[in-house]
Amino acid sequence: MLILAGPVGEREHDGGSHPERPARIRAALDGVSDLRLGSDLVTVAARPAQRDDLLRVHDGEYLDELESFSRRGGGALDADTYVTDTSWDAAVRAAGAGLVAIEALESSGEGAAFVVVRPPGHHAQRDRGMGFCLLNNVAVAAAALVAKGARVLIVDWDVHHGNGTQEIFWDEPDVLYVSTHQWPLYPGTGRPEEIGGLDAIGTTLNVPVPPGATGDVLLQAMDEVAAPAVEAFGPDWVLVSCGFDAHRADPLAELALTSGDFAALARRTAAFARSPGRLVLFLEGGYDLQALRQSTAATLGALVGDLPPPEPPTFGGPGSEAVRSAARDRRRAIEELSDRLLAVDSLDAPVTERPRWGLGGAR
Amino acid sequence: MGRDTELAAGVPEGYPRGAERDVRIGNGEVVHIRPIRADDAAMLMAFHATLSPESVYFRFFNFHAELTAHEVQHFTEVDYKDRLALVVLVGSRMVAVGRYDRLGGTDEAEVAFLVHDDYQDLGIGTLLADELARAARTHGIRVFQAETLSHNAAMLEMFRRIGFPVETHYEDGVVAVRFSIDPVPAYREALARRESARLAGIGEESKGSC
Repeated sequence: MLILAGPVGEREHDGGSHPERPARIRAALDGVSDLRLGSDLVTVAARPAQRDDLLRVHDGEYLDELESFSRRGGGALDADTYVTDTSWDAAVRAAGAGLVAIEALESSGEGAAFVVVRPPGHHAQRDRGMGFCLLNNVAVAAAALVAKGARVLIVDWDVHHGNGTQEIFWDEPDVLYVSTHQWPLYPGTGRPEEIGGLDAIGTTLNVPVPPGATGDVLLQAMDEVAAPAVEAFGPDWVLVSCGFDAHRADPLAELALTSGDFAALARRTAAFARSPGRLVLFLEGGYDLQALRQSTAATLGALVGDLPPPEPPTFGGPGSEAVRSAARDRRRAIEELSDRLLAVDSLDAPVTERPRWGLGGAR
Repeated sequence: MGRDTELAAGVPEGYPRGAERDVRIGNGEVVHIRPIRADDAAMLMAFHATLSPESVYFRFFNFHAELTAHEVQHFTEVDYKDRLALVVLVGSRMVAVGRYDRLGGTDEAEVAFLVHDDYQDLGIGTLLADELARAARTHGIRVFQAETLSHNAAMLEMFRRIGFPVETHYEDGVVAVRFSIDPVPAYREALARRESARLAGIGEESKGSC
């Protein structure tokens, strides 16, 4: 069963010729329709996130400023990010859609959910929007789950690094953030050495890959770098920052994936969930409408319909070495930070509470 | 980032640290490419002073022996969005510079490259073009323009081979080159081949054993 939460942003938050545009939602919805799921498709309407939901991941002052900026008509937040008079309402509903998706999965106990919303979220930091993102939709959902005692894996296969999500959960031991992204590319964060704060060593995992990387390289990242960390972490829920801009037709990036590669990534990621009905995919980037439609169909088809993707998967591009090097750099950074922590602990004689760690460390 | 990145002294606001990288060039050496900074002025002047007259002529269309103070300031102080310059370093020695300048209010930018005589024909011009195109795309620029002297065969060949659909227009000894920087399939394929070569062994040597 597929739960579709939304859509949000089919008309609102329109920046004119900006690539992050309302037509993206129609393209994603067309991709869902292409699956002809019939009664296996359940659509749940988004509802606005409550302020308390947003405050788990954003500063109140930023929320107030963004709301009043939008209510006054908006403008440019930075060189890449715009706000219109409808942006605040769209962003709050986009953030709430993930919460609705989780509720629907909790009651169904099976299947997966796709949150079809914009503006996207993964660049939005605690106190600022950037990179086309205003509120961090996936983070709002993850924080709500953590508040209920769950451990949450976020897999971010958008072609850009989710600097906002990383920042928000930097010190959160109950969220494992895993990102594959093109390097170099906007926003310039996401080095393998970025592994999380002292209270959450190893719960940030970054695998940058070079321009031209193909699907096999991202699968290698999932298998060789992410999978051991995920296994050690043991997530209750798996949330996906599901951008489709790593597709070879995307105008803003230079990776070489096809829709078939997203199908394979989706299967790998679904296997990270310990029980059924605990997988939610959030639409992030993806700026070629045809690629967005095909990739949506392939991804969801792999999860609920087991349908063959429209394009075959890709292999042979550069990046295999980069993945191995990321694994090494990450391991070294974990060891160094862990050693520092041990040194500090031995000075503070009675250690009553030790931080949780040990992800992907000494192997 | 994780936490806010601490910037070293001399690194200006908005400096895109993510555009820094190490790559291998055609002679096997590893070079560092990064955005220019205001404190690169002395390095830029030293670079310029050791270029052959021919290299300078191809870049400036005249024998421009020394950069003026105004030019140095203009070249080193950029906003990293509408105006960007990237420098290529071998150790601490500057061996090339490339830049784009957005044409006021449009989605087009003019590009220019200058590679030291000792480092020509090693793929550095193409490297600069790839990196500049990526950065420009991020800021909404879709087309690059350049002017090249018609007897600058190396530069014209570089444009022909890069993988973008290049249009040329010849007039009075100058070739005007214009191309969309959308990463079309031909470009992606060419770029993937170049990246494989650029990354060979990178990340393995400088980091010790494991």
